[in-house]
Parts: sequence; structure tokens; C-alpha cells
Amino acid sequence: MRFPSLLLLLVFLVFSAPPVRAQDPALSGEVWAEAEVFRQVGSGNFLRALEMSSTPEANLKFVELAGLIWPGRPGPEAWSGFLRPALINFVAGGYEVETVVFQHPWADVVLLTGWGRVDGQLRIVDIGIASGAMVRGAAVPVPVGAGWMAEGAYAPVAVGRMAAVTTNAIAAFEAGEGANPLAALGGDQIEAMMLAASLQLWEQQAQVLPLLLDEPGVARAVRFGWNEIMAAGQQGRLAEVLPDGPSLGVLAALEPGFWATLEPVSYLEVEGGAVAQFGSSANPNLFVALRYEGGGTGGRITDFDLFAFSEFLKEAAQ
Amino acid sequence: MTPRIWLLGVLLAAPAFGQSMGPDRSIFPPYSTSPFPAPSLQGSVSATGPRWPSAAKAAQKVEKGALAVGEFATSAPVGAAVDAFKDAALRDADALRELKTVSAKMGQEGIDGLTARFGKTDNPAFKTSLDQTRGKIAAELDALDKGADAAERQAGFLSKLGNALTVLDFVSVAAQGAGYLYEGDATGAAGVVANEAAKKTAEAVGAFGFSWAPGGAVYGSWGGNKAWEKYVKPVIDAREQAMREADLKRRIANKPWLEEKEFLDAKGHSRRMAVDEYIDRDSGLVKRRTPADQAKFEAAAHAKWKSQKAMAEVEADHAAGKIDDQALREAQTSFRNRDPGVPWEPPSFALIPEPDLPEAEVPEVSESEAVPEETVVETYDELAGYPAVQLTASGSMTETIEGWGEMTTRFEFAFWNLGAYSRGHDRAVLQIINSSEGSQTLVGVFSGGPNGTLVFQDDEGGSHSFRVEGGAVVVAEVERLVANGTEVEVITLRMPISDPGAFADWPEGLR
Repeated sequence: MRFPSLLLLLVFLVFSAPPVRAQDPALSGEVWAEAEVFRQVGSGNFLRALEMSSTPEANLKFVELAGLIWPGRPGPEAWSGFLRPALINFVAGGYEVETVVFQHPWADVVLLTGWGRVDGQLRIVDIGIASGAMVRGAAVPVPVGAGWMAEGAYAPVAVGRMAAVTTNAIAAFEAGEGANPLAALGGDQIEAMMLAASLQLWEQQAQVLPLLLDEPGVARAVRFGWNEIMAAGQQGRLAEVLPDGPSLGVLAALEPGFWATLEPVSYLEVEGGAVAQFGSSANPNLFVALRYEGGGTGGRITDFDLFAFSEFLKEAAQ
Repeated sequence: MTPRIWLLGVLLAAPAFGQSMGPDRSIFPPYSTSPFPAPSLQGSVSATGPRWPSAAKAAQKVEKGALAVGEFATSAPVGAAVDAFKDAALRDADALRELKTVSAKMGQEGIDGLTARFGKTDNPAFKTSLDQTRGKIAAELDALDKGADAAERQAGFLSKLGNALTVLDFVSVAAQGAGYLYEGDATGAAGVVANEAAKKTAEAVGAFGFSWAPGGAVYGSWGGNKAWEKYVKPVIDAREQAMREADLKRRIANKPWLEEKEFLDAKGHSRRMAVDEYIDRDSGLVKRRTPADQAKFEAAAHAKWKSQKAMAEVEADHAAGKIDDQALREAQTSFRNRDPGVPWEPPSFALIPEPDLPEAEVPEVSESEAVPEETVVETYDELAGYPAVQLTASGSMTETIEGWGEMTTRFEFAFWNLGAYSRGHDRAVLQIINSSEGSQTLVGVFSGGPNGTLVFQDDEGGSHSFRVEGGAVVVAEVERLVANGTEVEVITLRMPISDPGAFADWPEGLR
């Protein structure tokens, strides 16, 4: 079954593996700066970010893609939500179109953006969306679900390691060290992958709902704990509320304002406990995880740690 | 040079937007107000206080990780971004449920786990949302059964499901993953927990600069933090300055509440509306207001701007410790239910004046319900030193009438615990907010004490009494329409007051 009223999806394939190039720090810096401006401005006002960083052709695709992924939701707001915790992955190579990938590690979905020069400034000229699993080279049928949730590891470790695998898969291709992982997908498979990406974004949002709604029980206790920690973080009294742990010294050194930028990105509840994770819209490289043990009226925070996605990349490199 | 593109190019099927529509049509309308605060581009974010303040501090505490959570554990979510996330999450949870239903309709199985998590909740807000979704799904399935137009069905996202399911591997990740994602070895995390290097990064750039996750060949070739300062920060600073200057130019002299909002036209161009333009919701066309409509619009925009400024001041006061969580929560409740046509003021400052302010005119109350002046004089000494606490209580009822839909009426009381026992503390306010008819505010009196009486008079001279019971709840017997508006029933609302401790050690026998 085809969907003529929707989209014709094509994959632009690599004509040949790009040569490995020496990296140009100035160009990398320029690409990074443009991508980060787009992410930061877009996190608050996506329309303004388009005005600043995109082209009309790409804008139309943002509109169309939003309608496909988030039907019934205001597109600019949905894109803002996507960009807030997104990591920026790229390897600038001096090509006509530089590819920058905005990786949403919690939904395990990536936004692919192509940047070309328009009147001297790098601007977005093309976009696409893909699931993290397919970027990492998964085979059809397209897996649905954030890959990190199927890892046998503690949640923040699982998400960090999976994000590192995704980053390295992107970097390997972009640096000419591997094939385009999406090249072999057919039309139906691309549609399926976009559906998977959409479902994963929905699920990521829906997953944190118990924390946002003030749901009774464990979610309420976790939320209360988080309230207190966030307040303590801003007031410089974390040691009063947190158990001793490896992150305590680092957490205490963070700027107080950092705590106000953390937003819930993941919530997993089991009988008698939960793990909640919070990402920073100001610095998506950092996130915190809170593990709670107990019921709805009393329990304890067994772990509260600060993580950095870059640390998982270092771990992977070793 | 070979272009190295691996994007999933999304080509629009003909006719594309730009070919079929005039340029003055919006395809991405502007935000009414962006729900998300933008992260600062300056590399520092000032502390704004906790986003989710806790209520009833005395009932709970955290000490070295141990939580004792009382009955009133948390307040409603606070902060624009959190509210936006909540709205998005509700919609996405609904979508998942809808997907499951449609999938079942099509004979597919295997995604139950995606929604299993959300079938168990007793949360009333969530149940309401789910109920509404169920209603929509039922109507949709009904329409399908009646042979609704096939083309219309295909136009929807979910119509793709049948095709996609053959190449999707549905895994209930939320259900299967939670166990070990919780139980996993946390001690093993120490190696990848942000370490001393991250700490230095945090100190150097205020923990706001390192958004970039390096990859592949470039990794390790240059330090992320130094590079951020050298390459990224100057660009961000310059762009922010440019944005500020552009905003300044666009600002209308002496009317900062008017702004030229962005939108995308049908050809994908970013455009800004003039202050007297708007986007018609039905057609998407950019239209211009008449001078009379523009005057009304500007008045409403001014009220909104003033209200938001007032709320920002309340939040700043809270962050500075000048007001407590309870006061903030009351202000937020009042703000959410404000009259959009009138500049909002915080309730504690506006609804009930402090006793030392000049007395406003108070509606008369019947003799039987008013507290005699001599009683105040006689009993005042017994309450000497007793703290005056401003209290609130609120509750709502819902009526459903065919053709009108669901109507909610919310009652919000504000009064002082001392009431008429203390001169100046007898004032009480009742705000009645109806989702269809707007709001009205009644000023009245409270007799005082844990079992006092609240009396209000309406514009038509009618008197309405409510009682405080045991210092814990306001009890109201109200009428509502049932049986599609053909009958009236009397229901009792029991509305918890904001601070039951306000009547602690109330002198016995005080009448």
C-alpha cells in the first residue's frame, strides 16, 4: 500500500565512499557554532531558528516532517522539544553540503541536516529523520523502541553507551570509514523507519508523564525528591540531601543555574522503585540520574549521579 | 568534490505547498507564546528557583537521600517548559493509545506494552485525558464501520500502519526494559560518571558550553571546551546581540506588549506579521484587523503583558525567598484562571487587602450571619498574638450539556483565618470561574475560626453561605445541571483549605 497523499521519500546515496580528510578545526568550529545556534535558538523559538539558520526549501520539509511525526501537534513546539536535549554530531569535511546530526539520545532518534553556504553563511538545505537503530546498522525489520532500553545495564549507563555507539556510527561514515547505513533501505522500509522514529518520540514523551502529572505513588516520591535536590543544588546544600557518592563533589561544583536547565527525559518505574533521568537544555552533554527505592510515602535515593555523554565516548574509544 | 549526502531527502509530492497556495498563507503559525524558555545564548543561566516547588514542607523532608513524604507531597508542575512537556506527553500518550486501538482494529497485535504503563494510573487528570481519547477512538471506529470515505482515512498518519507493520519489529521496550535498567549495576557507572575533567569543564564555561559530542576522526584532535570558547561562543554572542538589536528595532514605541511574530509562508519563507495582522485559523491566511478590532487586541495584549510581568515578579520573589511555596502555588492557580481581558495581580496583594490598608466597601450581610462588633472587641484579647494567615480553598464541578459540551465551574475562596474576630481580617473573596461564561468575583465576609461561615452577596442581592469545617475544608452545597440540562441536583463540594495549621490551638469556646 502506498500513500500518495503524503510523501515521496528518497534516500540520497553516497556515490562513493568519501576520502578521509584531515579535519579543519576552523571549519569544524564554524559548523559546530552554526549547529549550536540553531539548537539553542530553536529550543525556545523554532520559527526564529529557521529564520536564522535555514532555507525555504528545508523549512517546507520541517513542516511536512512535523506533520508526519507529530500529527495534530503544533510543529514548532514539537521541534523545540526535540532540540532541547539533542546532541550535535558531525565531522566537517569541506564538502558542498556538510551533514550535522542532532541526536535525541532518549528517544533514540536522529535528525539529519544538510548545511550549505547561502550568501556566505552555512544554512540548512535539506533534512531527514532516522531511527538510531538503523543508523547503527540494524537489519530490517526495523526495530521499534529506544535501543538503550534493551541494553542490560543501569539506565544512564545504557543510554550513554548507546549514544556513543550512535555517535561513532555517524562519525565513521562521515569520516569516510564506513558505508551509509541507510543506503540499502527501500521505500517501505524508510516509511517504517520514520514510523518507528515517530513512535519512539511519542513513547519518550509519554514515559515521563507520571512525573509531570504529579501521579500518586512512587512517581510522586521521585518528583518530591527531585524537587528537593534541584532546590538544594541552587542553594548550595546538596550534601544535606544527597547520599554520598562519586558525583557529589562534581555536582556541588556546578553553577547553581545549571539546575534550572534540567528537564525530565526518562522515567522507568518498577515495583518499589524507579529511575528518573534529567537532561539539560543548556548543555545536552550533561545529564543526571536519580534512583529511588521505596514506596509512595517513604524511601530513599540510592543513587544520584551526573553523567556526560562525552565520557561514554572516551570509554568507547578505550 | 563529491557531495557526501546521506540525508533522507523528503521530497514533497506534487502539488507542493508553494505551488498550490498563495504566499500569504501560513503553514507554520507563530507561537501564541513559546512554551519553552530559550536557553541563554550567553553561556550562563541565572538561578530561577526550583521549577517544581514543594508544598507543605513540614510534612516531608529529604535527609541524606532518605525521603519521608507526607500527604501533600508536591504541588502542580510549575514552569513553562514543564507544562509544555506535560501537554506534549499527554498528547503522545493519547496517540499511543489511539495507535493501539487502530492497530487492534486492523487485526494487528504486539504493541500492548507501549501503553501498558498508562492503563494503571488513577490520576484524575490522566483519566480525563484517556476518557476523552476513548471517546474519540469510539467515534472514529464508529465512522470507520459506517464506511467513511476511504481517501480521508488514508490521509491520516495511522493509515500507514498496515503497511508499516510488515516491516516493523514491535517490541514493548518500556515493559521489558524497566527491570534491569533499574536493577543494573550502578557501581559500574563510576567509570563514566562525569569526572574531574567534567568538573573543570563545568567550572570553566559554567557548564553550558559543551553541547557537542565529538565523533570519529576529529575526536581527540582538539579539546571540546577550548574549541567551544574559540569557535562557538563568539558566534553565539554575536547572534544573540543581533537578535536583541533586531527585536529592539521591531518593538513598537511605548508598546512593548506588541510584537511582530514569525511565521512560515506557503513557500517556506520566514516572515513576520505586522502588529495588526493575524493568521486566520481556518484558512491559514494572513489577514489584517479593523481599527476597532486592533484596539481590542492591543488592550488584551497589554493585559497579557502586564499579567506575565506580574507573574514573573512573583516568581522572582519566590526565588529570592520573599514568598513561600504556598504563596507561589496560590498565585499560579490564580494566574491560570485569570480573566484574560484584565491585567492580573497576585491574589495575596489584590484580592484581600492587608488590614492596615484603607477599608474598601464591603457588601452588607444579614444580621444573623454577621459577627457583632462587640464580639470582636470581647474576644480580640484571646487571640492576641495569634498569627493572621491568609487561606485559600478551591474546587470545581462539571456539567455536560449536549451541544455545549463539557462546562466546568471552579470556585476559589480566599479569606483570613481570624475573620471577623480581628478588625480588617474579615474580608473574603470568592471567584467563580465558568469555562463557558467567564468569571465573576464576589466580595464577602468570613466570621473567623475553624468552624466559621463565609457569606457572599451577588449582584442581584442573593446571599450565598459556605462553612469552614474543622479548620480543614470549605463545604459548599451547589446546584448543577444533570440529565442534559433537564434536571438540577445539589452536590456537596468539600474543598481542602491551603493551610490547616492556621487554626492550630484556636482558643476553645470562642464564639
